[in-house]
Amino acid sequence: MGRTITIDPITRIEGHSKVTIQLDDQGEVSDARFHVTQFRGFEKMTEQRPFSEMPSLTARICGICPVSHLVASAKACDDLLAVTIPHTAANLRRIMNMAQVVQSHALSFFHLSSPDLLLGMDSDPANRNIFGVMQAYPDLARDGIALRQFGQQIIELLGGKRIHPAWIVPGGVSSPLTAVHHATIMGMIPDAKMRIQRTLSWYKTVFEGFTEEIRTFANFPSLFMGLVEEDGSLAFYDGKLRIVDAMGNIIADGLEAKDYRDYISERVEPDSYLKSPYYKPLGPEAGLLRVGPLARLNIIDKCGTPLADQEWAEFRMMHRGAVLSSFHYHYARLIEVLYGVERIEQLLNDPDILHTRVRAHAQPNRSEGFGMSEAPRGTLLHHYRIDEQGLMQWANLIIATGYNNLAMNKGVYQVARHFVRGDQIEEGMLNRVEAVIRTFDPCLSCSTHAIGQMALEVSLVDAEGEVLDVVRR
Amino acid sequence: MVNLVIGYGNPLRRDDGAGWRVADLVAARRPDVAVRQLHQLVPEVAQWLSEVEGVVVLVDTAVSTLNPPEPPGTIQCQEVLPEPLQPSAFSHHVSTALLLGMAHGLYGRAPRVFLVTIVGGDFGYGEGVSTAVENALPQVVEQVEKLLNKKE
Repeated sequence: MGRTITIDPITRIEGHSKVTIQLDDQGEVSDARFHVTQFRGFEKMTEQRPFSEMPSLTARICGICPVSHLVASAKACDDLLAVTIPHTAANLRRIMNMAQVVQSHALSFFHLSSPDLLLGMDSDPANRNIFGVMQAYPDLARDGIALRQFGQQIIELLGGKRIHPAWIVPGGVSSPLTAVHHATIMGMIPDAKMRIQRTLSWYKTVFEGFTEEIRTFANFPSLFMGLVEEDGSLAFYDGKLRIVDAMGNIIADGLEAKDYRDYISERVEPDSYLKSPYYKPLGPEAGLLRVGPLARLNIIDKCGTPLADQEWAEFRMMHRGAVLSSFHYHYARLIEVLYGVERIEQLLNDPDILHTRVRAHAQPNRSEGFGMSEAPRGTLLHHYRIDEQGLMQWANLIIATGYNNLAMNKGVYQVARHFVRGDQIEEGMLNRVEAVIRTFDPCLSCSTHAIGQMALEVSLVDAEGEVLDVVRR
Repeated sequence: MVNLVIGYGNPLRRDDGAGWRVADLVAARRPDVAVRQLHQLVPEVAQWLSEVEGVVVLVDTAVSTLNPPEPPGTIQCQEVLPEPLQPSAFSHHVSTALLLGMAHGLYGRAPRVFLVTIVGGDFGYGEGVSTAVENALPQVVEQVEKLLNKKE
């Protein structure tokens, strides 16, 4: 008689979900599924609203990465206006976007995942959290707090507040950067750079100790997707999509947002509110995509900043072809924090960064608009249609976490196959199932545009459908 | 910074935004005081606390836990005592006492911290606080200013 294990809720992720592990008659794992159990439906909610409200409305999807939605939404609105926004405005949006990447990655790495790395996957769950890290590794905890603060403070200085700033608007940004704030941010750069370099140095001394996790945490061939600049460097704000295979071969390049329906399809799962987009020409199996930090570092030819380029070269030396283990999302995330700090510095050194012309004004000139950018967790797309009055008729949002859904499911299965023994859920096994999901840093509020609490449930179910064990957090 | 006032809550949930209103009112009256508005307390607040030389006043709204409940607009005030760093299963919520403990534990110093709580009655969707809470705001501001003078 087969059995099923359910983990519900999953902890230390952004959102509400559960995992079901199916055992066969011999007690071996035969299937494992990651279910996202929250729903909100922003696409429907925004119908009949003026398109100009979309950046502010969609930013409410998430409290962690509202800037990502602001950026993608504003770009879709720019497209509706058919304007090219001022150079300075584009760079200011880039700075805010990078600040958010830094703060979101810091939250993921230090607050959510570092307890596993520092205290051990099998350590007492009562201590295995950010407060346990603070007790045992106060230096690292201080670096985590400081790096998150770095990103948050830049967002606040630019947008007036750290959560849901309404500063990125259709046509540009609502106000220029002041000389005082420019100097303040510049003054913060050296400290942030020092802290992330220190963290990277430490991480490189410890991650190889997680051999088993590296080998089993969603470690399989897949496609990797993200935006790249024309010169092949990292792109977060604009650029075009590139897709590489597991060997690192480019299989598609120069893809534009407006053509996304030609290369992306969304599969709907019966047991989850999270859709599963995949690379359409290859179908859901061969077209399984991964996006986010690991994917971005796998698709680029270089980062484009000096220190991050050095780290990236070392990172890519780990594996011939693409780096496949999702455990290395952590490593990639840290390299992107370093890139983010350097990139902000580069952008602040642009001679026009204090220019006061920061917004293009126009009425809608198109009925359909597309906006694509890289959010901390991967590629984000907003697609809008409006009527003659500029009222929203239809919206489609394809969220980074969705792209990773098929890979997360496969990763949960891989971990369960390796670690689950018998019909009871042991703590180390439970945590590894959660930890493989955590490597992707999924944002379920974004990906289902949902409301919910951070939580996890794991169920163990037999072949007859009888629930043998359930663990809830 | 010398003194810090943090108003926290959700300004889109009616009375829960009272802390933000108080922060605005204090900022208008006391340009010498650093003022911040937050949706919730987060770990980096511990770093801010460690940088304050004077007094920190946190302003929050809460449902009355007494039976019978206190009426909306009631003001409670207490000094926050540091709680040692200890495990917590839920890292999305940080208590005022734990923040003070974090300031001590991670940064080696922490100021006197007071928590002013306004009893709310309407936590529904919408901006603007209820009449009862609105009427209490001048008293809350007065209370905050008294606390700010504690070390001056």
